[in-house]
Amino acid sequence: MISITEAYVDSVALNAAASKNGRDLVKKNSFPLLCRTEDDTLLFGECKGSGSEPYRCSADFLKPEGPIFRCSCPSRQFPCKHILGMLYAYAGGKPFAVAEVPQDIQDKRDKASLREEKKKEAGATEGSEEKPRRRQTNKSALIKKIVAQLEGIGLADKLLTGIVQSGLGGVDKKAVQMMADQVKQLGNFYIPGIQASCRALLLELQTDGDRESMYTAAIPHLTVLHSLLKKAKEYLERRMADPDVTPMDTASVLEEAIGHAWQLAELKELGLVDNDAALLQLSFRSYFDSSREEFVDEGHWIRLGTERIHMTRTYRPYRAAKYIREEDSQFQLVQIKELFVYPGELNARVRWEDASYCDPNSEDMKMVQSQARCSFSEVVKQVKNHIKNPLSDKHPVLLLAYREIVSVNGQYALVDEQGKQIPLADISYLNHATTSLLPLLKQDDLRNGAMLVMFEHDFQRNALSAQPLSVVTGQGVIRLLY
Amino acid sequence: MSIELLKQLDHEIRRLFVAGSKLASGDVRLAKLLPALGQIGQSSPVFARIAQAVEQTIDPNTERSSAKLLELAVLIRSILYTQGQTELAGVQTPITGTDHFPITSLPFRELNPVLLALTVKGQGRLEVIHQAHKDGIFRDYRLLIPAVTALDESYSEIADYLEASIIPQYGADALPVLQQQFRPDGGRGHARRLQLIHRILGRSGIQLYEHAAATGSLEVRTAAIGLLGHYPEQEPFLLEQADERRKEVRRAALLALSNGYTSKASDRIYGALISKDRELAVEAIRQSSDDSLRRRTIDFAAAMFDQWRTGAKQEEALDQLRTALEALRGHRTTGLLELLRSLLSDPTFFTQDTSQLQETAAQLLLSLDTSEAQAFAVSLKDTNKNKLVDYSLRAAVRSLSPTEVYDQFHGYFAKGAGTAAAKLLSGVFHSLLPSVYARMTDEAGRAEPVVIDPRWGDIFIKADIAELVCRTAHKPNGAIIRYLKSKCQESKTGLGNDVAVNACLALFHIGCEEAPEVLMNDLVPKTRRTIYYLNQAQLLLLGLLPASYANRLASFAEEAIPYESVRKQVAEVADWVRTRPQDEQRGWVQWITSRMF
Repeated sequence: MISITEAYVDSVALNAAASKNGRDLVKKNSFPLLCRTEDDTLLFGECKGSGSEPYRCSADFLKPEGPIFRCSCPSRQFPCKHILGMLYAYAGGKPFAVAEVPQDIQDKRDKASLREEKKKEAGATEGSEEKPRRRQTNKSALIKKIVAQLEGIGLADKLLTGIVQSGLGGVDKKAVQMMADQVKQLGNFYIPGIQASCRALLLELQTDGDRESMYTAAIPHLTVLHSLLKKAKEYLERRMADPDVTPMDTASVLEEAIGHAWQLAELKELGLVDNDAALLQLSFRSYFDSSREEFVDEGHWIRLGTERIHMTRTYRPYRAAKYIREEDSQFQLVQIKELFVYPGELNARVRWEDASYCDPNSEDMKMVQSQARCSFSEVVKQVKNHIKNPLSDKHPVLLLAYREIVSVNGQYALVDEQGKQIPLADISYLNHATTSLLPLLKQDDLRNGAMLVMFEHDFQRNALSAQPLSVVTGQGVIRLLY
Repeated sequence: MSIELLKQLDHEIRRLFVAGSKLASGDVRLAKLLPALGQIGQSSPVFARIAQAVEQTIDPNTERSSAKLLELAVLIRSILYTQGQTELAGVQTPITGTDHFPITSLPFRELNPVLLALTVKGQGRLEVIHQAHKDGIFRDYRLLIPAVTALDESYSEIADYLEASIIPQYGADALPVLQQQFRPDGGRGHARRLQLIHRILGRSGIQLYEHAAATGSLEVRTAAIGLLGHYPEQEPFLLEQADERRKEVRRAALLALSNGYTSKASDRIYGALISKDRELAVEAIRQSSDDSLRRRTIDFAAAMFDQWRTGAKQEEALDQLRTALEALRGHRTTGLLELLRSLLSDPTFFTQDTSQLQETAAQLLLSLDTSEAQAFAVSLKDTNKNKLVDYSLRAAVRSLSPTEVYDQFHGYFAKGAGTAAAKLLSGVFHSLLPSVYARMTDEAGRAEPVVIDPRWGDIFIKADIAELVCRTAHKPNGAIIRYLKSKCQESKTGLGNDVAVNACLALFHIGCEEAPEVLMNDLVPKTRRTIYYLNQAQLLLLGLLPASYANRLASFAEEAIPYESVRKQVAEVADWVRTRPQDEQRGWVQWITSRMF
């Protein structure tokens, strides 16, 4: 059985509130019965709830890599606080009486092993056959969908044209209300990405306060939306003409921007899978994206052995946020057999199913440091080339090798071997200051290190600057964000 | 310069987005830019494209002016994205960094709630910060700057806690941040920063304190003056400040002078005491390290008393006397007993105007804590219609044997509990004797229990002071049991009556065998159906029942309590009673405290 520590239970919990609730149950002595089996593969117990019957919860570690949690409570949050509380009680050294496996759990175990065997048998007979079949797409259904999408794009285009023609100055409450209705209607056309872009524009128009700053904030949304609609229309028309000649676009983020949610199976079919990758998280954050009405847990990772900075994103819809695991900072090195890479450019999004974890050693850290980008002039060129594309992510993240961190007239900057600078600043997109932490760094870390930064172009000052997210030292990653 | 031209274009495009693209056709300001664009366009193809896009936008014959304007905007934006400056003009200076700052990395889930508590308004933040401090989360360096910034917090408990407990734990590492944020003209938060800087820098920051004391805002100034009080050479400056126009500054200066490095400082404080500033001097005299200042205060008080007796400026003299006595709190200055003796043994002192003063004088007398003072206090028990008898009793308990105390004081209850003296004495007994609940749950702690004569029990029974009977009951005794039982039977609301609950607890406490029957027969059935909450004493009481009563209690819960949460509470108690090991009370107390969590 795996060792159950508080940290392990924390990682199992969906979010911080769940682990707090679990801990409180232990504090309140809500477990009249706590048992474990002789071989420690099963923990089970009873927890007092509000009803007359206690909840019966158990944690089955028969397969340590995939423990099975069960509880008789009706909570949709899973693992629920009762299971977490029982695990905390175990981690905290509460006495667990040795007992036999209860009959109901034994039945479930038997059933599971039976299923397993059947699967194996089936696998053995199928193993001789061909590799997994390609999924067939129904062509007429696809064309029907594209027609709907094009119709939606036409609607969005009308909306955009309306705003631009009559001008932002004329947008009043009534107009905004009308637009909100139209944006809502876009939900019927399989273009959630475009709908989110429209909603982002709408949110800017809805902001109360200074009109002038509203105009400044809204205009970039207009241009982005225009480019998106234009590209999407061209692409979908081409695809409608013959889906076989024009396959799904994997060179850019266009499909995702229209609103396609890539499935792992699709990515696999398209060959967007890498084998045996090791990723180290360099930075993490979680924010609420009001245009998507979702929480976004975003991690930036370096893939060992390459210069690539990948991104992970977990979307938690606002209404279901409680029931989806809230991601957290990950300090361990993640070894992945199958790494799915989404179509993308500088920071392609990745996902994985199974992974093993280990603590990074100093060799790994050295490797990461050596993968940092050395030439700032090349980096700047690449970043500018990237962000000038209307649909690209305007805030690319890169790992930079620096000779030193300096201060110029009160502003910080990174300097590379050639003496080239990249100014460091707190960018408005992140809305979380980190540059003020730089003077707290150790002297050694201020020289010849590697720093993960996020870029932003400031139109007002016509300047490209970067915000420090983390510093990679020989000992580990110093996180300036999370 | 082409960048300037692009910016100008961007500006014009913005104008058109605000005004509407239908006004773009033939736009004069855009048209004006065309020649310049064309000129650069000859050498740069990008600008030629721009020129073309501008022409299309302002073309009156164009069909979709909005699309053209958007195209132009996309083009300009794309080009501007490639023009971002990255070189900073100026001299590069390396940052020094620190050499020992401990860096710990906590995960998002732990760090984020604390950061939010420090930076965002809302309720429940203090608890988050308390818990984070307990869990050691503040060790994470990313919280240092937000913690220092939050000193400006208007929720003052948070700022207090940060100042007292959290920022000091960073030690000298907090100094650069504190110094960087400190502004002498700032408010209360900056006064806190100055205090914290002083804790780190001590004398070496003297120039900063001097500067702040001379030029700062009121809050910062008073804080700085307080700090300067630690340094003898600052006395002339402080003496100067003691004459300041503003009261707060004078108060701070007097307090700072209370270190009393020279007689000048004491003179100044004394001067304040005898002037209109006397209120400001009270704290300074209490804190003063100069005992002679307090002796002078005693002489002054005596003089004021004389003046009052002679009848000149009576009100003023009384006020002076009051402040002087207040200033003498907290010290056992020689001569104080004589002063108090002269006040309290003078029959003319006891008038209506001086009632407050009488109390103050009696309190001072008790605080002297000498046998002489206590004997004098006891002797005051019959002065002024027994008004000071409570102080006498306190002094007597400290200085006399229980029997002597009983002999001297039991007579005051002869006419029942209603007399003024009996009420005062009951109050003293209340504060001296822990309640029966506290005794049973160890809440009274390990403070040495006050021993009183057992005969008091009978006195209290006669006077019918149930609470004190419960508090004094130690051994089962016929009269006491009868009395307590009668109290239980008298209760009309069963468990809803606190007196009865305490009486029943006392029955259990003294080991009366009938206690469970009394509880189940006299209290539980009479409990009102409207009871909606059981407090700790009531829970404790029910939990004391022997196991054989579990079923009766459970069926009572089921039948007689309509309110669900109470029914659950009682059912839980019944469960506990049923399964409890013999004579186990400690576990029950723990259970109750955990439920009250």
